[in-house]
Amino acid sequence: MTPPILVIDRLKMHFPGRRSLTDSLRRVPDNPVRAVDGVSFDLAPGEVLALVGESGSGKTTTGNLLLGLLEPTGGQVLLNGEPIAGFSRRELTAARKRVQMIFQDPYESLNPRQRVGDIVAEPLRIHHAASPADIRRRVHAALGLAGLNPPDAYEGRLPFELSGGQRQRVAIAAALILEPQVLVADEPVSMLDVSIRAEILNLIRRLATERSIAVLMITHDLATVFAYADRVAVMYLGRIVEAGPTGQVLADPQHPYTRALLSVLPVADPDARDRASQILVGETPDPSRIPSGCRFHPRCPVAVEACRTTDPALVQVGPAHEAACILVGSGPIEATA
Amino acid sequence: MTIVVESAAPPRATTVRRGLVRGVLRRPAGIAGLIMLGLTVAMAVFAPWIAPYDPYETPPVRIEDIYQPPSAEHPLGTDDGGKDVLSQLIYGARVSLLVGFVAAILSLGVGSAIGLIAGYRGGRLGGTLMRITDFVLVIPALALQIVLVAILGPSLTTIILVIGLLGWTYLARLVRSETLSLRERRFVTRARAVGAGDGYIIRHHILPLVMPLLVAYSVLFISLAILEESTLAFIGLGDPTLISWGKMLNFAFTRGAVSAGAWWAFLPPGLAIVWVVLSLALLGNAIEELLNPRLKRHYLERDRADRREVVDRGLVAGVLRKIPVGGPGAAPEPILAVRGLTVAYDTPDGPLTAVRDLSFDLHRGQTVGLVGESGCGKTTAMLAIQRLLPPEGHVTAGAVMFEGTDVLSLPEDEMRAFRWTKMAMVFQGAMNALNPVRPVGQQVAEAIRVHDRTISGQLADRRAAELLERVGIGARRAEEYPHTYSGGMRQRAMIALALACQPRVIVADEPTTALDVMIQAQILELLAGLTEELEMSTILITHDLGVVAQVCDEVVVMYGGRLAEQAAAGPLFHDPRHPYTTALLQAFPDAGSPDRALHAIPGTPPQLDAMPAGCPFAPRCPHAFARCGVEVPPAYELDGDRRATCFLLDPAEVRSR
Repeated sequence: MTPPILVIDRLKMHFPGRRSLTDSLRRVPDNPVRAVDGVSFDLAPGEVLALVGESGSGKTTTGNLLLGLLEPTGGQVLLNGEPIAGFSRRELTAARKRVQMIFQDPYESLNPRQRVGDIVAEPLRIHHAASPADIRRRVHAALGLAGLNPPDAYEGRLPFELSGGQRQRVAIAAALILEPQVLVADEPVSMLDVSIRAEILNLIRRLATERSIAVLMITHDLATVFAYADRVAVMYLGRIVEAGPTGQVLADPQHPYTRALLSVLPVADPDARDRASQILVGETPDPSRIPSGCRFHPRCPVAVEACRTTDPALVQVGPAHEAACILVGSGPIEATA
Repeated sequence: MTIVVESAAPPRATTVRRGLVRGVLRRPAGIAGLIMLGLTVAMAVFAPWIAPYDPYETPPVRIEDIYQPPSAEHPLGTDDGGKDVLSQLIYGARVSLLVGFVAAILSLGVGSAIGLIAGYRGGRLGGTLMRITDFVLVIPALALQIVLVAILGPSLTTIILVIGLLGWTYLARLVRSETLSLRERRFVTRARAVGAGDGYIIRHHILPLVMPLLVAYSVLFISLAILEESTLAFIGLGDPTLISWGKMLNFAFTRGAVSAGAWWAFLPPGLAIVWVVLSLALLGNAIEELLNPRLKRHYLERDRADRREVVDRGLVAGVLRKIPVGGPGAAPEPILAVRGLTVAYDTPDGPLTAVRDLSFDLHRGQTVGLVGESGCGKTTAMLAIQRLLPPEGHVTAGAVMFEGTDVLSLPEDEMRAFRWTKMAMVFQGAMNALNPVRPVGQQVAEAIRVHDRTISGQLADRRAAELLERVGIGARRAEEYPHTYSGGMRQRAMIALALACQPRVIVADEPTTALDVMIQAQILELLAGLTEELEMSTILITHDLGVVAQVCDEVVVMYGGRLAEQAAAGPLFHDPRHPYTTALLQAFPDAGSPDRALHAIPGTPPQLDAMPAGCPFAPRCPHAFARCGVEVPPAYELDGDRRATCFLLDPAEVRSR
């Protein structure tokens, strides 16, 4: 297997908690918001890894850490084996060329006053990476790659003249123009109509395979990753609770949270409405008040007494398949795995 | 995919500016303002050529020349020095406009620079700058100007500097708040993630978007500066060597023009000031209107007293008969029957039809899903049914019958009662529908009382608490404000609000679109439970077929404003008959068959102003043939009480194939 281009090692991002004046006078201990609380994974060229979780799971913060938009409070990000924390200013700029991102909202992530050609050319201009003639050529190439053909029909347009799908393609073209090695796609299709999601996901998948780009796809919707991700990592409250090859995780989910998430996914069959869906009660707790023991235990349908006190680590449950639950690896579930 | 090929794009800045100029010229106020200002500027520039005399020349004063009324020789008479008033007026424009423009540029420059820095950098620097701004802002400007001019001596430069350097505070605050919000926009984050520096981001992403604000305020600043110069000159602090309108007024009032009854000495300069300020106000108004679409009123605020939909009433009975309600001997009368609903929006280029000939039934206890991509007319149809269309939209044909009542012809006051007690709506953006400054429980209690004044406050509170409890919001949370709620909780509160008057029908417009899957499942379960428990009927607007499969009994698929297919949920999913339904199903990720490849529907739904001649779906349809491009398919009645509008289902076509 090709060595990973990106290694995330026990990454932590704790934001200082909000304290009122009376809190600090009364010496109430500071409760940091543990948005990302020890996340590790790696990413190989040409691979699509889906980071799945609900709001508050820390998936977007993880993405921002990879892009260097935030300084982690613990752990490290290794790009091509080098920790980006140790990078000089110039090295960091160079690293930014290698890691690009696509945002969730194509209506928000494009400057409404900039023409498509300028939006796509912007990364080159910021990095002074090409001559004007070269810029035009590369903008055309990137637009073509992103499926906006013919490119000269698009480069003069303003974002409002494009559909949501076309805008997201513009964002992808802008992300591709520096020929990155890693692409972080934060909810790339959640703002788009279901009818056109597939074309954007197909495009990202194809780019990963054909151009050996490592893709981290951040999403709250497991259903959209089935056909597109090689691996899935499920996050809950700042931790990865289960990770493994997509097919395996889907066919044989180990963590109770993954099982619940899978059970509520829509099935295009009204007759299957009565299948046993496991709707969890309540919402993801506040990351400044992470429950003791297993962070999922208050909402877990199968929690036992020990879950209140034991914080489970990820354990191997199959080839390249891991889950963090004390009931796997020691109990009845292992017998079937 | 159809692509309009355009010629090479002109550079960005010119088009934005050209768009502004064109927009201003399209508004009467803008044209008037421009003409008035243009005349004044021309007068100032060509003063030496148009003025009959040179006002800076001082000929010996002859007693008979003092305060001469208008005559052929002096069209606006003479002043106390026997000098021609018209010539002074023409030359005075030079000073007034010069001070106005230069001081405005100074204010704009200082204000925008301080606003940009304070907004973009924030932190201690931003804080200090804003404190300075606040400090300057609270000092009475006129008093300070008087003091400064008096100390520094009244020269033209001093006056410009004093006016320009004191007028920027308001703008600085505006630019700062605009910059603060722009800084958080995604495209700025994107540029930063790519590695852009602060200078680059300000130049390319912040400044171009703050520019419209500056343009709008520049006009205001010019007129303020002209007024301030006139004020200073009037109280005797003008540059003694120069003639300005304010100075003319000052001379007229201090040298006895009023007592001499010489109105021609003070009226013309006064009117000139009014003229310029008015021209700038008109211009500013046009620009402001152009740049700030929020000035147009929201359609729900509009006074809609008795704006009944004008429909040919004769049609109602006709359409109701034409489409039988339910199958033969089938279900009882529907609670809501929509027949031939057609909705058009007025535009400058004529009416555009957004919904055409839509018919469907909603039965008691039933959930009907209204499905289609964005822009297919789902929301328009629902707004039309509740008569909540924006002012430019109206029903042009069709009928909406609610338990035998013709909804479209109800008087407005009955309609208002109908809206919340018979049919209530759950909107997509729950946060915007909740009042941010009142606790959620209070808002629900209030909704209960608005529609039933006989209920005591206590009872309303109790009922509100019960309702909130039912949707999963406990008593403690009910006392909190909406901003402390998560997205899912807000949607629950919205549902409680909608239920406040025990409506018979709930219209839910994309109620779960922005929510997490688990929360979506919770909300859908809640809605389904409530529908059953309260024997309500629900119309669910969504673009997500998964949601439909989970909760709907009946499905109406819309495309291009028309019905594409209508069927019970089971048959629709197992055996779609319209190619659009099939395409939607293939694009939707199905957890039941995860290995199936997804196929996006190429292209986009048609724009209202570019509706295809035949079947609206034909340009994207893999099965389209010649007839689809010219003729609009009617709704074919199919077995199993379902309908679809596709020529593939025409018995004649089926035979010929």
